[in-house]
Amino acid sequence: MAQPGAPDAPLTTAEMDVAGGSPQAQAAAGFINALAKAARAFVLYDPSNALVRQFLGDYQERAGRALALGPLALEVRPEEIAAVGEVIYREPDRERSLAYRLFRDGVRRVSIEPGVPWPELLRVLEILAIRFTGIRQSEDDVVTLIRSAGFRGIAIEAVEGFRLEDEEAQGEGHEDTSALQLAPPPGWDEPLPRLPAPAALAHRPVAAEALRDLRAELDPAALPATALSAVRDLLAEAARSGWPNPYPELDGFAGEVGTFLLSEGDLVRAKELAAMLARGGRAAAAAAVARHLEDPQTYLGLLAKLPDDAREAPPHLAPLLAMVPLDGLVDALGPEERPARRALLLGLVRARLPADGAALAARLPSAGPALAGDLLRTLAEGDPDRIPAAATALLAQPDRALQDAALAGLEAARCELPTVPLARLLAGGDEARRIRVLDLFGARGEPAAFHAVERWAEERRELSDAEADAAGRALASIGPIPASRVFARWAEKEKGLLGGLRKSGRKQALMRAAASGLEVIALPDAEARLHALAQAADGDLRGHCLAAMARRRTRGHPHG
Amino acid sequence: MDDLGQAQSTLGRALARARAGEDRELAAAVRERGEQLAHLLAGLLKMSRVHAADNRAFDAPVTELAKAIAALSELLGAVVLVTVEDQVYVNDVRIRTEGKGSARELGAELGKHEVGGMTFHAPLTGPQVRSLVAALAARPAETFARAALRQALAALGLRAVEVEGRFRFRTEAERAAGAGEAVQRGLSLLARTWENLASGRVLNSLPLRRVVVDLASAPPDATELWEIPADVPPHAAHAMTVATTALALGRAAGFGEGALQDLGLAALLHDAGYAFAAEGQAAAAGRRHGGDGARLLLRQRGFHEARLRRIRALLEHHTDFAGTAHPSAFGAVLRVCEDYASFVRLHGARVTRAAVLGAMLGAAGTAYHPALPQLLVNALGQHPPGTLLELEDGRWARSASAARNAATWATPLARLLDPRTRAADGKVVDLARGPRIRRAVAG
Repeated sequence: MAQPGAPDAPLTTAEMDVAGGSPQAQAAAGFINALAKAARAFVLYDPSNALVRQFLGDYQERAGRALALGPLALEVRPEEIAAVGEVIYREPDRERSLAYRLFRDGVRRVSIEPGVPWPELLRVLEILAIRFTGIRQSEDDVVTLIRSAGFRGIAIEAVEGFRLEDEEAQGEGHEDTSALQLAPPPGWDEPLPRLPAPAALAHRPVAAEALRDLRAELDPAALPATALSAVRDLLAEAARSGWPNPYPELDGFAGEVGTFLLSEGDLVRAKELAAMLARGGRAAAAAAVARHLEDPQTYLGLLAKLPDDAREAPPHLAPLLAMVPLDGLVDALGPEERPARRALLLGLVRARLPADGAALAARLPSAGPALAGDLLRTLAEGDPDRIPAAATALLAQPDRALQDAALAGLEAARCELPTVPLARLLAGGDEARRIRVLDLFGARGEPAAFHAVERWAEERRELSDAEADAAGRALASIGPIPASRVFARWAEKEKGLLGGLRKSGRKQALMRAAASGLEVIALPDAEARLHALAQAADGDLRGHCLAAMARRRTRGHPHG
Repeated sequence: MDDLGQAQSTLGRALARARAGEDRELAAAVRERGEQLAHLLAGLLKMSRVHAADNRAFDAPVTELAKAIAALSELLGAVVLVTVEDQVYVNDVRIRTEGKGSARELGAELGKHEVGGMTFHAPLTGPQVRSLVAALAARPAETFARAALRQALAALGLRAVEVEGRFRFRTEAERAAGAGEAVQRGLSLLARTWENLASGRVLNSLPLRRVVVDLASAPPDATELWEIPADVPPHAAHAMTVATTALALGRAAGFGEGALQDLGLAALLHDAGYAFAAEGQAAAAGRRHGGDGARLLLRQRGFHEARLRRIRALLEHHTDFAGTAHPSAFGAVLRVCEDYASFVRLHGARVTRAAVLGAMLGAAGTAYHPALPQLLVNALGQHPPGTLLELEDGRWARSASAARNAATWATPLARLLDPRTRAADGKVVDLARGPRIRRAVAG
């Protein structure tokens, strides 16, 4: 089912049903609705959200479909947009309406050429998204933003501002004569520079190379350098002209520049800014920027710009993200549900190990089960020596999910196992978990666990087939020779009158465990003993022994 | 990364930059107080239909309205309330009128007096608010209703309240026709902006930016750009001249539309620092006005690249290119444009505009960026706008356009002058089609 608001969701009130309209109107409606949805998506979701990607894809596809039919001329009205003489979009709710946003800012007609490049369509979306998120109201509106974009394939007709309806009739205009009293002081802008004698004028082309420095400065990529230069210039002027210190306006500006530099991932310039402010005697501003530099949220915010499916941080952000303290990363992981983002954050945690191993282990008991499991696995990769202690702490928690997380961590780690707390789990009521513990003991060949498993198997009132198999395999893996002796004991016929009856209960389970152990044990007489066990057994147990023999041969163990 | 991933990344970056520039606090405060202003005023007018002006029911809303106006004045300086069609704006921030209060009816209420908006130049006291409401609630005059209201307000001592005519959205045709209107609007805004800045208020840059958009989109033969009325304040005329010159130079330098907008705005504000100067500090103000202008701009909040460039431009618009550090791009452009405008302003009676430009060519690479003086020559033409010309047929004219293209670089549009008074007679001739220019004269 489509997610509400997703590109494939049912029609909303804004979307006109133009099924009966011309193909051009239908395509234009699809395009405008995709544009409106994509623009609004930025109000609702982070730009890196997978849903935003869907909206963008839909917008791109529908733009292509609409423009394949020829140029698109859209007429903008307060509540609706029309194309080829048909209303293709209507939204009476002005706060939600794309039409109204455009109309309010003065846009009356939008024309789009068929060959318009994707970056221009994207820029239109960016402009609308900026306006939908209600920002930069005081510096730009849709018209100034569109005019500044210098589009080639997109044109708008717009009006700017208002005019008096009857100013000519009344003989009055906007002139505010009360405000004309202010004037610069006498001699303003003097003295003028001394200039040489005039040369004759001629029109001479100026080479682009001669203007390269000016144009380069206006390139968006140069903005961080420009921002830093602005602070440098202001500090110099403040020193020269004796501005107050502290000066909240200057300090605030420097803080904004710091935020911008960090949002650009420009740690070098951000640090330079802090140093510059300190050198300039602006202690408060320097401290504010430094605090910003130390705030994990500053750096974690950089991740918001990455696509949802990014599993690694780009190299230019690596030094910035390295500034986030471990606790900041763990805190960010808590509510994070996106798999790729979790992987990215865990990768950052992993990069802190083994240096921050103790701190990470200390966070485990207070973490939720899922997070604890992930962190323990990460700890296992980066600082495996800490796993026993860390897992022991988790296994001591009453929360079963945490205990499972500990198990998962231990399964992932190549480390010594905490035998005692694990053995305690064998006494619990969860068969699956008991089997996991047995498998873990077996997989690690943990000698200290041998007797624990042996005793548990013998004392357990009931053993399921799976448990018996796991116990046998575990003992065989931990110590083949002592296991062989144990299996011999378990395979012995019970003496006495009740022997036959007992064989159907616990004894049967121990015999099965012995068979499962003998299946994997690398001893020459194992097959012969399995054969003997099969001869002594009947029913299911006999079948199990024979199957174990077959599997053993398949795996290439000697026939004996 | 594929197309869409790249797009997500680009948009995320753009929005992050935009968000870094948002002065949410100011915008939210204006919107909140603006809504109060519009709703309370409309509500008071409605109440006036059933209550006498001295009724105690007015007390609370009158007090609140006075508070709202005072708070907005503190934030914005002049508070401009505009109703247009069924919308209400306070200093260009649209006020939500849907579903609550009675602000939606405000346009109709004011419209009875042929009024579309009002400007509060100062906070009002409670009694003044009562007087205003009473005047607006009174029966409109049958003829010249707005003029009658204006007189009534003056009689009540409400000089801080200025009423405006009814507004409507402008049409595209009007916009295209009116580079001169943009110049007029800009001059008026400049005067108001200086007043606001001098009063310690925050710059409202959007209306000025809209002016720049109009100036920048005017065609090369728009003579209105260069013909600034003689009766406007010298600083406003100077700022407008520097702005139109900078736009011509910026375009010649290949700046993009966005950079041109930012440059034009910086040019309009480049001398705003003089508004900061205390009386009697002329000499100090002259030396410091760049820094003082930057201080005025620092009052704006929110990171925006245009603001950065404005601040640097104001700081550096008198900086020599060959000094210890090169000025910024905008600083360098404004240095050339402002010096040109100042030489013409101060010495234009004795030297021709072409001579000024010719002398500036000699300072390329020292006072000025090496390429900009020649580029300015190319942009303004052999006879820059305003040059007094004697034509071969004996008539006199003033050049009225910058260079339209390389072919007509030496033959601008020109406005003919009355032979006796040398005042403009209104007719524009294209000198590319003749008559030929005999000589250019200072003056």
